[in-house]
Amino acid sequence: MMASLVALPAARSALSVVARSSRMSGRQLIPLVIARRSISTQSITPAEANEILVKQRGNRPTSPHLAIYKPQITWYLSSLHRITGVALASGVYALGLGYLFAPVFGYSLTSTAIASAFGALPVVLKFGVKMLASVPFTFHSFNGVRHLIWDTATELTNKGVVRSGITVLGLSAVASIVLALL
Amino acid sequence: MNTCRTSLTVMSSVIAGSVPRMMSSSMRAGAISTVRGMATATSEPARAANSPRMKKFKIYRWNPDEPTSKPSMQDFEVDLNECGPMMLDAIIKIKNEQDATLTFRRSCREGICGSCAMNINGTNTLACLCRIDTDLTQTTKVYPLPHMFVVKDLVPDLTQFYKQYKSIKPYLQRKDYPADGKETLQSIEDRKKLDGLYECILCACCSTSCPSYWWNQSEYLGPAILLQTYRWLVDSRDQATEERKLALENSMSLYRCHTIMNCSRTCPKGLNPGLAIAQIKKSMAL
Repeated sequence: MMASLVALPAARSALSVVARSSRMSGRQLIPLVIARRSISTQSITPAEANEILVKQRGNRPTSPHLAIYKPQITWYLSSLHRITGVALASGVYALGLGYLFAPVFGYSLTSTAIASAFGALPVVLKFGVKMLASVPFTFHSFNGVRHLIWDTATELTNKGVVRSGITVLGLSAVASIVLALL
Repeated sequence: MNTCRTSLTVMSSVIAGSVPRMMSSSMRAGAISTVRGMATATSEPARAANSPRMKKFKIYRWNPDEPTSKPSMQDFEVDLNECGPMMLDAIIKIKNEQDATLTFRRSCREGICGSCAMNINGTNTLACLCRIDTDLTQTTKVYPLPHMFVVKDLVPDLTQFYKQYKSIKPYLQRKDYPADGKETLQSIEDRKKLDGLYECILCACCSTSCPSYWWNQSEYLGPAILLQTYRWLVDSRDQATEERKLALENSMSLYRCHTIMNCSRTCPKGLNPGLAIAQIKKSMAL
C-alpha cells in the first residue's frame, strides 16, 4: 500500500508528459504511460514505510465535532446541566467571598444591605434578577433528580431520555417562575 | 429526523431501489416512441416524470499528500434516479463517476461490518443503513467520525479505539474448566443477558458521538468499549468479574460517563450502551 502511495506523484508526472506530447496519436500514448509507470514505481522498506506513516500521523487533522454534531436534547441538556452547575457554584462563591472582603473596600454586603438595595429596584427588574437565580437552580435540581433516577438504571432508553428531559424542562420553567413571583 | 434510523431490511430496500431504475429505462424508451409518432409537445410530461432528481452532497476532504492544505468541504451532485437508496450507494457512485480520489471505508453494505461509519447530517451512522434524504432542496453533509484523527477524507484513525478494546480483554477468562472437558454450559436465562450486547459490531459510532470521549479519549474507554466490558461482566461463564471491575476502579476509565446518552441515540444497530454503562456503575456501587 505504501509503495503505491509513493508511486502516485510519479504517475502524475507521467501523465503530464502525455499531456505535453499531445501531438502523438492515442495508440502511441498507451504504451508510453505504462512504461513510465512501471519504471517509476519504487519499492520501499518497511522502515521507510513506517517513517512515512509517522510523518503523516504528525499532520493528521482532528475531524470536526461540537460544531457539526446535530443539536439533540441528549447532549444539549447535559451541557446545560454543567453550565448551570458552574454558574450556581460561582454565584455562591462570589457572594461568600464578597461578604467576606466587602468591608475591606468600604462596602457592606450584609443581608439587610442587599435586601434594602433589592427592594429599591423596579418590579420588572426584581423579577428578572430572581429569574436569573431561579432558572439555573430549578433546572439543575430537577435534572439532578433525573440523574439519580438514571443511576438506578431506569428510564435509560431513547424514549425515556426525551420524556424525562422534557419533563425536567417543563417543571423547571414552572417552578422558576413561581419562585421568581414569590 | 430519522432518515438514518432504518431497520435492517437492507436486502428488500436494495431490491426496491432497483425497481425504479428498470422502470425509468422502459419509460425513456416509451418517450422516444411518442416523440416519433406524435407532436413533440406531448412528450413533455413523460420527460418531466423522467427528469433527473439532482441531490447535493457536501463531503469532508483532506489529503495527507498535501499536509499544508486545510480540510475542506467539496460539493457533489448525484441524480437520485440513477442511484441506490442508501448513502453508501451515493458515495460509491461519486467515487466511481466523479472523483476517484474520494476515500472511505466500506465492505459489507448491509450493516454487519461497521466499516462505513461516518457522520451524516450531524449524527453518526453507517452509510449503508442510512437512507438518502430525498428532499432535493437540502444539502446532505458528510463528515468523518467526530473528534478523531483523519487518515484521509472520511477515514478516521481507529488505532486508539482498538487498543482500548484490547485493554478490556474481550474474551472468556476461566480458572477451571468442566470436569468432562466439554462445553462450559450456560442457562437460557443467563444467555438472554447477552442479548443487546453481543450484536455490537464496534463501528465506533457511539464512542465518537460522546462529548466526554471527545475530550478524554486518551483515558476514558467510551461507550462501545464499556458495552463490551459489560458483555463480559454479565457473562455467567466468565470467572474474571472481580479483575474486570478492579480495572475500572479509577476516575477515568468508566466514570467519565456523564449519562449524556448521545451513544444510545446514535447506535445504528439500536443497542443501548448508555444503559450498559449504568448497569456497570450500579454493580460497582452496590
